[in-house]
Parts: sequence; structure tokens; C-alpha cells
Amino acid sequence: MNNRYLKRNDLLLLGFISFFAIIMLIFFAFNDVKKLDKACLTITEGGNEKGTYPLDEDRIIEISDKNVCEIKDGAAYMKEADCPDRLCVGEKPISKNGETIVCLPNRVILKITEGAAKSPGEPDAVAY
Amino acid sequence: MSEGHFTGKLISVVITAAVCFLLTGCGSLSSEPLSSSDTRLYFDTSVTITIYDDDEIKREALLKGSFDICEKMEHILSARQEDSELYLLDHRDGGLSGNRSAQFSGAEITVSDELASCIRTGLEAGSLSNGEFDITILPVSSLWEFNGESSEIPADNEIRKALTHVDQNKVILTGNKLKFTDPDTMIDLGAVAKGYISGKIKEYLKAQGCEGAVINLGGNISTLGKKGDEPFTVGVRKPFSLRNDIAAKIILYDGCVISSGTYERCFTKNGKLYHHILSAKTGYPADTELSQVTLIGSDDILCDTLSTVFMLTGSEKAEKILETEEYDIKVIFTDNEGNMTLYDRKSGERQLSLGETLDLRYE
Repeated sequence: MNNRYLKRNDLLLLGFISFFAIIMLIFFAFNDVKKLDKACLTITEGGNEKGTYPLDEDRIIEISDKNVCEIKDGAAYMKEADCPDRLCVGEKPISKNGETIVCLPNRVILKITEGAAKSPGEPDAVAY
Repeated sequence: MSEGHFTGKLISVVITAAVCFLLTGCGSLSSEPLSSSDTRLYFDTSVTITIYDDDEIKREALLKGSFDICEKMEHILSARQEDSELYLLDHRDGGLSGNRSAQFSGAEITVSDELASCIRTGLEAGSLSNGEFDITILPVSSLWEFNGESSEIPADNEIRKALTHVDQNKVILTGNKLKFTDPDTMIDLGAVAKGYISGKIKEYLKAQGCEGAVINLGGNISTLGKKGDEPFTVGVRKPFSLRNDIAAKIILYDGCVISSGTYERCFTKNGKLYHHILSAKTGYPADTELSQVTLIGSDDILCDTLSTVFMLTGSEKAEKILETEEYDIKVIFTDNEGNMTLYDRKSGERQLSLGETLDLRYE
């Protein structure tokens, strides 16, 4: 009965297009995952970009002999700073998209780009 | 026979189209609303602005426009930049150390609209505070250093000497005309300017039809519109802990959340905490029961200024001010033990537990 409406070739076509769609889905999904994995730390000093580093590789970065920042276990934090208040050194490691650590006296900004989105309920900003 | 073939093709095309539609449709359902964000340093603090809008060109244009406002305001209101209008006003005759001619006293100075607005708000807040808050605190505040470099308490006689110039009645503002009756009286807009600037940025974004924005001006948070279809969540920092440790969360659409506290710009000497919120009566840091106040409202400059006023007056006087002035502002008072009390003039006081979420999206 079915064959009256759906011939073998039609089924093949249907199968092929569905297969193609699923491949595309996997491709896009994979790309998304890859994009999330490629969270980066961008460092600026005095408004100039100093560099961008992937968060998935542990490393220590010196910033003009004034600040030292470390990427460890997928998060970045300020390890050392020669500024007087050292507020930046006390801040929690950052890993989510848009999170920043700022060293005001040295005009250094650490910022996460292309990172995982904040989970729902996590604040968009913190008042202090 | 050929009709059946056609129907078969039709079915397969419809099914395929449905599959394609479903597959691509699902992908966009789960994605975050599109946004652009940037962090820059102005007014000796960091400014992060995030714009939510589907149009990328518009997002970037609005970001640029917002930072242009910061740039402009820095030339007017910066306390540090030596060519800002405020700095020149305060150092109109070489400042405290300069020699000045007797004729200067009483001379009329024309100030910009921006500066006049900030001074006016500051003076109004001062008269609400019973003399505790005074924008002419600068001769005293410039003696104190809260930048982490020093933990020196200024000499008491120096503070008392500087206090003789602290009195907002020595500043007479009529429209854009400003007069100082004391040549050594200087204006400090530290408690006012940030709120004024975030308010101006928000005004600009609103006029440009921005769909959603979060302005973080050195910890003053101001929100506009929506994040996609969602409201914003703003955390309130727990006093004396890391900046991302949160004592409470607020869910809102348009509004501002502005805190003031003894944990910012402070030092400890001989076991005593000295912080930047200085009483104009004593010249020393405020000694109320409070470690933090957080104001939630819609008027950035008012909330910013009142956050400092309330730190100085304490919660009892603050509640009276809110009541008599009929301000629709919610306040979280945090005492030195970390206990939080939520107040607004309609529902009165209630305790707030650590980590509690206040959903204000329908208010």
C-alpha cells in the first residue's frame, strides 16, 4: 500500500535529506561546543590589547612587569600585582563570558570572551 | 500511477521541510540573547556596559555612544584630571596652598549644566542629612588617603582646620551661576557624579531605542529594558568579602542598584577600620551601625547620593528621609554583623536572609 505513494527513490531522497539534516545538526552542535570550549582571556593595559589566550591551556602571563596573571584549570586570576591596594589579587578566578578582573592603579583589565554563558540565576552584574 | 508518484514526492518534501525546520528551529531556541559588552577605565574606576539588541551594528554604535558620554563627563566631573571643569573650579586660585586676592571671594563663576546639576543634587542631599553629608568635604577628604598606599590618620588639628571650610552654605548656586563665600571651600562630587553619569548614559540609550542594557559604573549598577525576554539579575556584594560574593540578588527590568559601604577604600589601623565615607560634622569616617546600604530605585543620581547620605545618617534617620520625601526607593541596610534589613515606605521593615532573591520585576 505504502509503495503506491512512497516509491523506493522517494524514500531514498527522504532518507538522504534527513541524514544530511542530522549531519548539519551535529556539525552545528559540535561547532557550538567547540566555540564554548574556546573561551579566551583578553588582557588590555591602558586601553591597548596585550593579548588573547585560550582558557584551556594553563599558563602564566606577565603584564609589563607590573601584574602577573595565571590561567589554571579553565579560569584566570591575578596572581601578583605591584599596585598598592592589590584588590585585583584578591578577586575570584574568572571563567564565564564577560567576567572581568580590573587592576585600577595599573590600568590592566582581564576579561573573558567567547566563554560559556552564565548559568540562569547568576547575576548580570554585582553592586558594591 | 503518476498521480501517486507526485503525492509521494509531495509527502517526502513536506516531511523533509518539517525535519529541517525543526532541526534549525531548535538551535536558535536555546541560544542566549545577542549582546555586546566592553570594559573601560574612566573616573578612576572601571565601567562595563553591555547592550542587548539583535542588530550588531546598533549594539556597537550604542556602546561607542555610551563611552563617548563617559569621555565627555570625565572632562567635566573628574576629581583627578587636572583640566576637568570640577578640578579647575576647586583649584580656582591655586587651592588651599595658593595665595589669592581678596577680591576673589564672592566672584560669580558660570558652570556647565552638568556640573550645576550635580552640585544642586549634592546640596539638596546635604540639607536632608542634617549636616552629616556635605559636598564641600574636599578640604577634609583630601587629607585622608584610602588608596591602599598609606594607613595614616591625618593629624586632628589638620582635620579641624580643614573642617572650618566645610559648609555647603558657603556655596551659592543660582541656575548656572556659582559663588563661593569662602575661598578655601572646595567641592567633592564623589558621592554624586557616578549616579549622574550612569543616568545620562541610560537617558541616551533609552532615546536611541536600546532594547536592553546593563551599565556597571564602578559597582553602581543600572539596568534598562530586558535581556532578550528576561529581566536582569543584579547581585549585592557581601561586605568585606570578595567582589563576586553575593549577599542578595535582585531581579528587575528598568532600575538601579547602588551600594555604599565601609569595605571600599578603607584601611585598618590599631584594630580600627577607617573608611572613605567621611562625616562633615567630625571630619572622620562615619561611625553608624552600618557596613553597607543598597538602594534600589529608578533615579540613578538620587540613589547614588542617598547611599552615601544613609551611610552617614544611619538607618533610622534614613527611613525618616524616605518617608518625608516620599521616595519610592527600597533600601537594604546591612549592619556590622552582616544582618540585612529591607525597607520601603509602603511595607516597612523586614529581615532579609543571606542569599535571598528579591523579585522586583512586577514593581
